[in-house]
Amino acid sequence: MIEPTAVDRYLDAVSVRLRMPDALRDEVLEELAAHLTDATADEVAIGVPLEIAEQRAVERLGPADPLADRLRRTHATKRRLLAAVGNGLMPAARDTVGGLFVGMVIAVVAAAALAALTRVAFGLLDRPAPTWGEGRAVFTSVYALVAFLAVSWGTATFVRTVAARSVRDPAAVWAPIGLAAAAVTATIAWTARLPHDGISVALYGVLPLAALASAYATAHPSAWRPLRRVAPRREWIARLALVMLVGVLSAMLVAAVGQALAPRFMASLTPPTDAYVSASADPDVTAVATERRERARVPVISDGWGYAGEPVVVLFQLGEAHWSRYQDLQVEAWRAVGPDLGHGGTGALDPDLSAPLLIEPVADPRTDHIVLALDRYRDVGTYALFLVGTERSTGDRVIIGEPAVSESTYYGTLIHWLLVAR
Amino acid sequence: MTATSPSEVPATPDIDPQLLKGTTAMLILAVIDDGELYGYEIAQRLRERSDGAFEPSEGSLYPALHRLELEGALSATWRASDRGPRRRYYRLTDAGRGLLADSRDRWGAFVRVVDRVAAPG
Repeated sequence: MIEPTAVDRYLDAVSVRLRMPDALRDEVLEELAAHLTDATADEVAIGVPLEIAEQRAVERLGPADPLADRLRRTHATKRRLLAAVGNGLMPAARDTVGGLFVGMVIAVVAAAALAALTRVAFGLLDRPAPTWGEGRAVFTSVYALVAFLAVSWGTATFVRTVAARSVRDPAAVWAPIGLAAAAVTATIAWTARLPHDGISVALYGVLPLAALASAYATAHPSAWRPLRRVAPRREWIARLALVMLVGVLSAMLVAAVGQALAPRFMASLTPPTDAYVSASADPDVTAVATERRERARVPVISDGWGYAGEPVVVLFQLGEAHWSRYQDLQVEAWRAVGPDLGHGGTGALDPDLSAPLLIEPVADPRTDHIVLALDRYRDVGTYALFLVGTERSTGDRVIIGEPAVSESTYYGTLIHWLLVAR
Repeated sequence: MTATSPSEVPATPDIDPQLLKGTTAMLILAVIDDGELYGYEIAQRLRERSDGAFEPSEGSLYPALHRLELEGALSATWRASDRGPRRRYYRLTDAGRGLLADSRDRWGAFVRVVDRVAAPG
């Protein structure tokens, strides 16, 4: 085995500390090697033995570590970093689109397989297979998969490109961090207009996590050390699988946390809307939602999704005739079952219940709203609210007005079906 | 290239390295103003033109060269050599010539002021 010379050892020492792109490092080392070659040759030319000549040449160049550090700092300019970021955006965008495409292909294949499996499974159970309309969870999962692939792929490309074009300066860390922060910010801004169910909340967690995991894994190749046993040709598959595994597990964790925190969090994001009295045959029971937004305390979204993280405020107007005709007015909140109540859906009151969850008296004739502490019933996904009173002339307990919807399964006057998150 | 060994350069008056700080770029630009040179030649020219007075670590030359190149004062070209690795030749750009002229002006003003202050009574 050939013993390394003083020049070899010196260049190795510089190389170790010279953390910069391979091509740039090779050029710097070649330039230093040329310098040492000339310096050694000059010493040898005046009769100095080769070994001593090399040692002198190295000493004249100075200690390796400070030289490598100064060269590294010299190339760690902000301009270079910015240029690298700029150069990274285009391939990142390209691979994001590639990720979208691949994700959609996988999703279509997976959905077809899932549909076939579901049909077989439900056939064995002798039950009708669920329709796509009920497959919101499947759809959202596909959406999450596609988004995850796109974001993680694009991020990995971005970080790899930036890392290849700039030295590994600590400032480079800000690029993926900034990207992740932008993703989180965009997610929060976007969330107010997106579904707030648990799966969607998990998706919102997946995107920044995918970006961070991909960025970290790309910027820290040593993190892949356990994968070195994998054949290099297949290593990228193993990396992708590991990133996805981390991403999915993290998403599950986020989903669990999101389920606990989402109602209050989403309530803080969503512009308040009203719980309102629905249109009724009785002209004295008037919908006031649009005029009374300022009174709303919580988001109660009538068309499908929402969270009741605070007590629900029910707004209504009762004409003077009601106060002369009825007494002991109260609002009742019933547990309901089924989707899309009040919107032509198939929901109904929970048949296992014989009493309302909550009764709130309307004591003051001038009252136009009451507060229902529905936040106590976080396990209830859907409520039906009724305005009930005792007719003064007969003493009968009646539901005021006519049903607002035509389905015979509803009973009494429907104030509104409140759809809130379970 | 000179055949004189740097280790054979005769003793010269010591120059405080602190005084050299801030002048390295000007000295490098001034040497390269003579013509296209590569790193080792630049170190040799500095030594020769200062009669051996400038004996900074030769390694400090390369960060300075690279910084000047990144700043656009120098441009560099690789050329093959019959003595081992390729050489990286540096030449002044227009910006580099302008920077050298400015540096000389400032240095001249600085020297005049220092001379005035430091001159005996």
